[in-house]
Amino acid sequence: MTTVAVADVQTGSHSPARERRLNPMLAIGLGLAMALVLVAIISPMVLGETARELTGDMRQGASSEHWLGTDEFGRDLFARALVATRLTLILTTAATAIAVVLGVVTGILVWMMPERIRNFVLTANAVAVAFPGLVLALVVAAILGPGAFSATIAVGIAGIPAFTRLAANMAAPIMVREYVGTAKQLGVPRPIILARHVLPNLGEPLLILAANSYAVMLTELSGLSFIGLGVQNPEYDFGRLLADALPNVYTQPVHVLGPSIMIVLTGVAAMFIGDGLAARSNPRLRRAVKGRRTGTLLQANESAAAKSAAENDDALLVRNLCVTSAAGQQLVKGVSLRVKKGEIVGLVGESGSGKSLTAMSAAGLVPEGVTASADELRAAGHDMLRHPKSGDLARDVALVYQDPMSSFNPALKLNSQLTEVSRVHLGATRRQARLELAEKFAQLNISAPERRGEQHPYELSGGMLQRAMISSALVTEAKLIVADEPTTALDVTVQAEVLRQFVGAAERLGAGVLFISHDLGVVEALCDRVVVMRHGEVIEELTCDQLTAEEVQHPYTQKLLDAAKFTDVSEETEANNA
Amino acid sequence: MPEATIEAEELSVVFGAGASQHQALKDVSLQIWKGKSVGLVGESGSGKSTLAKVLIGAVPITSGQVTVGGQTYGAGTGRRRRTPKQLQLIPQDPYSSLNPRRTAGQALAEALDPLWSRVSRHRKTIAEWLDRVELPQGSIDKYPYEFSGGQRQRIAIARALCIRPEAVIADEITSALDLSVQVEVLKLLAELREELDLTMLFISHDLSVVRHVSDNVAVLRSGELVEHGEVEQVFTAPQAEYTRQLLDSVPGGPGFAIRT
Repeated sequence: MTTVAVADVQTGSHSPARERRLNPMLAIGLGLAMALVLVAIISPMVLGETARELTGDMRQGASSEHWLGTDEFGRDLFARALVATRLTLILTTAATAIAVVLGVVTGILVWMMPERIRNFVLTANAVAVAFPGLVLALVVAAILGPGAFSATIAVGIAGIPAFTRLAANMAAPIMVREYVGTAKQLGVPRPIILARHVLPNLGEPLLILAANSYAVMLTELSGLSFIGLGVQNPEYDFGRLLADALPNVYTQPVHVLGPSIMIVLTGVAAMFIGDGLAARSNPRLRRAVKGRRTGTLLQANESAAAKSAAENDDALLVRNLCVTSAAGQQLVKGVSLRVKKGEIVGLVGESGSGKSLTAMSAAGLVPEGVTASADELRAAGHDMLRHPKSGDLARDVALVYQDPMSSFNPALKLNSQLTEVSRVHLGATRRQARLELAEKFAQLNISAPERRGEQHPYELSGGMLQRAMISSALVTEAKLIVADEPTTALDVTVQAEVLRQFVGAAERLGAGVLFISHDLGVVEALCDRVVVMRHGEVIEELTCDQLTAEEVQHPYTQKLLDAAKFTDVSEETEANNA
Repeated sequence: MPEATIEAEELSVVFGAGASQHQALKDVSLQIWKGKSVGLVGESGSGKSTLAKVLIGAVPITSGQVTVGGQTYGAGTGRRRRTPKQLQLIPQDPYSSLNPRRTAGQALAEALDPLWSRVSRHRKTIAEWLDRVELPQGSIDKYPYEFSGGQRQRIAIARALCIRPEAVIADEITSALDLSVQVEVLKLLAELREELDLTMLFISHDLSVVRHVSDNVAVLRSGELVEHGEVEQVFTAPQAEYTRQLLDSVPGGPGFAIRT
């Protein structure tokens, strides 16, 4: 399951349900950009003459004839602002192209160098990134001499380091991917690996950076023209126009409006395209654009809830739970589930069966982008459909995740992470909580219990971390423990020890345990009852004795059992052996 | 005397230097005879993946030597293997082993034609191989995201085998898959091995999986080979204490008494 998440990050743009619709930011950006390109193409043809023409109406203000006034030679400034778009866009595009092409080529080529040289180049590049781009451009422009050509080269060169860094950093994780390793092993030459496997996977982030750099380079180029190092008379871009208008800014302030507005519009167009692309490539942001952040939990049927509200002291009661994805797909279809106090119930199914969604929704953790509804949902005595206090919930419901390494914060000591609930919600002092935790550590056979709390997660093995996780449930005397494949990431020799702790918790605290697993062998040894899920539905409920005796009704459960037997060491399985 | 396709002699690998030095493999000697399959078992950090990487030349040898397809590599020799046909690795993670932007056909074409990766020229061979690993018709032009984890692993198997290597290393190829899918992939691999008379090193942390695809079993612990023998003998009468412990910890084993 964890690998799926990794794959999502990696593929970026490859998911069948991926939305190709434009988000508003991107739409505005693209619309503006298109309008600007049209202006750049058409205005020199239509207004070129007006913009060049010397008339007697010098230094005029805004009028119906000259919307933005005229300059000292009587040229129409509105026309000039529009006509300047062409040169500005051409120069900025050229500068961006220089930065992107040379930057990406360098960033990828460093991966062909020996490690030592690569590190040197990347360090030098990091220094160059830290150096302000405009200053670098100024230096280059000063060396090359004033002029549109040299300004473009200067700004382009100043932009290279950012792209080199992005390309080199993006290529780093791709270079260690297994498909690159396989290609190397197959004897594919290094340059072809880079072109075939690395370059195509850089696409989206590069596009985003290019769009944002476009805005930066626009201002840099305009700046150079403004101080006289860029475009020279009689040519003009936005920066040049602004420089020409500046001496009259007190007498005719309207003269600076044209180039200023055009610079802002062009910059905003590029920024919007960049941010829009970024929002589209990041699913989290994409959802934020849609205006919904977290999943919701709804009451399905009001009258049904009232009926059984009085009774029951179950650890977990779920009636008719449905989970629907944002796209309208039914992920969990009316699941009912019950875990009594002190009972361990196994929830079994293969990936995509909805078992994790069911358990997490039951614990009130509905993932982003899905909607859950139920007739009744009670966890540790709290009515989950009526927004229980998060403090009570934190105390009564404990969660144990699959990968202990990623469920702890690596920067914090175990003490501060595991005693959070008792300190924040139960009002225990720091010292009290620490002693209590050490006591529980000892109960769970964690060696040197008093020292462990002062350690960071990386100092403990996976099995020990998982036991530490369970110990925090013991500290708060949780009434319900939801465990999502807690042993799949562990070595087999420590698995049994961790599983024993669940039995201990169920017996000692009388806590109900909902244990999600794909391993029937584990479930058979651990649980009192087993619930089998497939395609979002409960297809069978068995007691453990029934499972051991193979008294199963549903063919799918039988298939799971057969698969478990195929890999079972303790039995003779020659018959199944292909 | 049968011929060893893959051989490791007193192989040691040390990572890092000074205080952070870590010995990943200690004097490991192992032979894999032609046409035989060896299951390599060990827990995380035991050095089983390091051994695979040494064999394919991705990790340098500190001391000792390995022989792959008649060529011997030692501490001083270059790591690059110039003959991919001798040994292929099937990687572990079905999600990272295929380039998301290249079709199944292109993935296989790269193996058949490393330089140009032309699908059209090898279309028939590729289609045959995809069919052989029981992928549905038309898979050749599909992208990785259109396949399930098990199907991706089949593509990876086809890619490794389509150049007809003498030996393959399968590194935890089923650990990311659902149990019923694992069984299918294991059965497929067993069939292909029979058909192609492959020499195989099958790496897994799961003893029960190894049993079905191996003739011999080797057990690694912290870089040392603690046991090496025929599969039945290792499973029924393990010599090393550690092997017994591993066998006991499997669900249903005597060490798995959770309830008492």
